[in-house]
Amino acid sequence: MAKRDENDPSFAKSFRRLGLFLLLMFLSGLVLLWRIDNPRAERVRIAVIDKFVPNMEWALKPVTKLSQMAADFQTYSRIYQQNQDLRRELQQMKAWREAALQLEQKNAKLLDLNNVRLNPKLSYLTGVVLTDAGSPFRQSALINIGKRDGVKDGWPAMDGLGLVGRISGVGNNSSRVIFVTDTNSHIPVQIKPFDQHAILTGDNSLLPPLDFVENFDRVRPGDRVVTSGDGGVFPNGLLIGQVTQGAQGRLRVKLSADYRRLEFLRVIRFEPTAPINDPDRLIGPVFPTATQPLTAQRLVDAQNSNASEKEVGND
Amino acid sequence: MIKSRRLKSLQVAIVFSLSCAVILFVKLIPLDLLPGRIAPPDIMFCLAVALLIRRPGALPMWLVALVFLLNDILLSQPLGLWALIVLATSEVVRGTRSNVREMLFLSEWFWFAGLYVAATVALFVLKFLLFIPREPLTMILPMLVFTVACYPVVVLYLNYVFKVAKSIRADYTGIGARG
Repeated sequence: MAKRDENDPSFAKSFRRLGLFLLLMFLSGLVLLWRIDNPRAERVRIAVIDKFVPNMEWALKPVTKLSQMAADFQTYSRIYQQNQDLRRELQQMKAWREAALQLEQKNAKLLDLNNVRLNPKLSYLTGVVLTDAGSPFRQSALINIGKRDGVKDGWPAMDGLGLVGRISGVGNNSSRVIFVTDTNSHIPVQIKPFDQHAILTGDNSLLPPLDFVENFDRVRPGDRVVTSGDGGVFPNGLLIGQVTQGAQGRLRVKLSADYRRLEFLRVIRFEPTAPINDPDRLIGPVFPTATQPLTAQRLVDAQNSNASEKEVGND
Repeated sequence: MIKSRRLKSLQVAIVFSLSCAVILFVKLIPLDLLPGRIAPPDIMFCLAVALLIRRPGALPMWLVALVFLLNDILLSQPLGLWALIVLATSEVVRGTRSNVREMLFLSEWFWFAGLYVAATVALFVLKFLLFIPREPLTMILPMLVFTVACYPVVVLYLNYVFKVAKSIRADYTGIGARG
């Protein structure tokens, strides 16, 4: 190569320029493809990640575990104090558990008396967090369950207590979870005691703000925030967190999910209920369709049958 | 002579690829899933520019494009956008290399700062034109400062750990560049 360079530099130069041009064209094309046909480009991305990352698990796991152990070791000095605190909390929890059980039984009895049909309970799959987004501008994680395990796009992910995010992009062995805190995340929510609707918008912080709140007077700090199920993306009633008031009086949500310790994620199997597309046919006559014109003959028939029914009724 | 030169180039290319792989790996480890972290410096960009000044022959353009495309894919950024900008920047570096090589390190550093700011502005403008949501400036500016501050460290790393110094001339200028 070097020799030919010396003999004929112009040849190598033009060859190189062509290569550069092709590369630039390829990359620009990729950007445009990503911009125009985003779902397809993202599918390509998730396929590439699916090839690479699960194979790196042997390297990712030990490093992650070691660093978590190092973080745990820092709390080692306070272990006695922690133990005492945990005992006290456990005692309180037992009392709460007893109360919850009694309420649950009472609730079941009342529901049975009223013959209420509730939504079926949601079942879930659990996955391990493999990697995070890798940049502070994106809030997402890659988990080790995918198409193979039946995961579908859009399913919600929780950490046992609160909503963490939703599946966005499914590979064969892995899938990506976009967190509630990501700037692309907009979730319709309900603020509990007064059922106020709002949109929870991620802004790269641990306290995402609530937008489009219906009535500010009926929302107070400390209220529970759950998914509303509007739009059919999430099932309703998944816990997200509690309302807090941020700077400048803006309403924000303190998330219940513990992002500090996300090791496992529960992905909830959720099929949106079938939409009702028919126009209502409960009231009024059946309108004639184009293929079955309402002829005079049929009108007469209808009247006759009505008359005969009346006669029967009179008898 | 030619063989040993090519071997050196290959070594440098491998050092670059492995360093980038380690950086990506560290970035992807799910240590801290809390939002609101401070943006880390873009060390891959520093490495690429420092090596392009010192050993342009060792860093063919397809390697630059490939590494930064992989970066885009794995870190869920717009596919190929940053790779496109870095590739264009790398051609600028190749073009002005002979001048930069004569500079003192301090002026090289300033030149790098200008280059990185230009690349970031280009990214911003392209995102604006393509209606891609842009990151807030409060996150971009610290990243800019950190990256520029990291450049001397990266150069020292190349000098002392991998013996890739600027002073060795003509011998190691590779394919397509004039020493």
